[in-house]
Amino acid sequence: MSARQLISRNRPLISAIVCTYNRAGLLGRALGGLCGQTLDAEQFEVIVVDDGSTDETRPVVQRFAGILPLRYVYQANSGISAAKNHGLMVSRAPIVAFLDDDDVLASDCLEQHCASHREFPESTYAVLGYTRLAPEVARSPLMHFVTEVGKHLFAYSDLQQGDVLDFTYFWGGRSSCKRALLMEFGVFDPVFRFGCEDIELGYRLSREGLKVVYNAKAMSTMIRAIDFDGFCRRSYLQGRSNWVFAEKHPERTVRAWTQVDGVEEEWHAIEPHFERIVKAGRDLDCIAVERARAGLPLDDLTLKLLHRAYHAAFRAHRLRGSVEKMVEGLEGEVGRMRAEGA
Amino acid sequence: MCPETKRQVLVLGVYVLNAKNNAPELAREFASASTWQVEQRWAAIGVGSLPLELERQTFLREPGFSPKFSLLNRLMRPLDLDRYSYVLVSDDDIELPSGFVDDYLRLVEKYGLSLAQPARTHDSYIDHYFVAALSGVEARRTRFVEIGPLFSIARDSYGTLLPFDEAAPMGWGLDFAWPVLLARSGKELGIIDSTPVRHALRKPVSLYHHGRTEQAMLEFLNSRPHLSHEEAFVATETYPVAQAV
Repeated sequence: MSARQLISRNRPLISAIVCTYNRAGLLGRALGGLCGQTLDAEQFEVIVVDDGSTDETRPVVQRFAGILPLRYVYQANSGISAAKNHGLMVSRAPIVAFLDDDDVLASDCLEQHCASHREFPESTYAVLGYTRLAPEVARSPLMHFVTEVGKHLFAYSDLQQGDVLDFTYFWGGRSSCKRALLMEFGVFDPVFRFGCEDIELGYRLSREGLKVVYNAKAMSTMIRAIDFDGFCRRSYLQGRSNWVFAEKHPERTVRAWTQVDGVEEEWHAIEPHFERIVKAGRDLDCIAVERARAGLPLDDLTLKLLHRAYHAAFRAHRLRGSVEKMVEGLEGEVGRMRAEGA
Repeated sequence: MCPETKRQVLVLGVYVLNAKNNAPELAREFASASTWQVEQRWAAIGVGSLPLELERQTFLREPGFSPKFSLLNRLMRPLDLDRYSYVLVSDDDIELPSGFVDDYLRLVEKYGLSLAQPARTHDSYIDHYFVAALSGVEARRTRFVEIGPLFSIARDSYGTLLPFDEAAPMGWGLDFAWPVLLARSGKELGIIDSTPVRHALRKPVSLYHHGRTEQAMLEFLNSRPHLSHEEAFVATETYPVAQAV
């Protein structure tokens, strides 16, 4: 179906925007979850934004072309913000849901998002859905830690159904909002290639009154376990984005959320020990993973050590990311001053 | 390409004398086009002396406030527009990437866009976020091209869009009526994302009255077929930037 035909048809209720990069296998499962939605096919559309994948993403999407009300768009690799904006611009529904390519939606997830928006029709209300871990993912000691203990990744333990929350809960991958709100007040800033893009936009929208309603019935399941090195990498990138976010909005609220105050001093204190901190985390993670595979629990002391090691390794990576970004910014500033002086 | 074989572009611009502006820099950038022969006609509003660089290209002077689109009509009235492949309309408070005319019009031609604009950089003042630049995307077909700070009209649509409808004196609302007019003749609209313009020098509507202009827009739209925001702000096709292998 051509884009023109799509646009001339009746508008759907909700556009599900899935941004993806080289995760063809996971994407296939995510799209499979969208096939069984309780909404009628004409009530929703799925937009897959391919952020420059070089794997089998396109053929995977093509397999769903006759099954889902689907549109595939491709862009040169530009990061998550750019991809979300791309999906937003081609979307047609008054509600847009930004979904992850490693989450499988429950069959009534999109219907639940729509129901919450019907209940809160003002343009400033967004909706946060609930994401649980797939059983095989939940067995990962690291995934348990980052969602339940350290709360580095979506953490729901403090939330109640129907809670009205602030911008810090405008979590990418599981939130929806009114398209008109973004068209009028702001879109994702492409400077954020990974991390912070959702909360930074939420922060700007909060000036216009953004509130986030929690609907635990809008459920999805994360099907990808992140391993130790993957989460370290993620923490490093998050640290870089945190610095950019705090530089862009040097207000107290943002500095608190990004935890950038004092990063330089903290990093200098731990920098000499960085490799050992990471090694300790990796070694303990290996033990924990092996025991989990064997169905063996960790004793209390080892569990405590493991959690401390995770915390230290991820914090160290975030610090490193923030400080490196800070230094790059200073170097750029010096370069500009030199060029102007010359 | 020999100079005499170059096709012509008419640049129409309005600048404000007694406000900070980038008109001289813009005039230099437009003049630097290598694949187009650019003719510039500017109108100056306000009091003060003309910048040296723009003296010969300033064809109108208005000491007081004057509606932008009325000035643009006056600038082009004496001309035979058919000489020009494109009319490009520019405000005075923007920054353009180097080589703008060549790069922008190459893509306008590539995608056959009768009415087009460059996207806005994300650090610009933005009225409608639909026009914010898409990274990784070269261009998109749309049902919306805004009335400023810069847009282009191809010769095949002069008859439809020119002279500008002065019932919308500052142009507000034209951008929601234009797509209806162009759709009747099957003409294409679009945004060029890979040559974004930065619009950060002055806050829009800082030099005229917002309320009165908005009222004029509502009256204008009430009497003309036009698109709603929901209809207008959808990209119908997008074209990626080619990736380096």
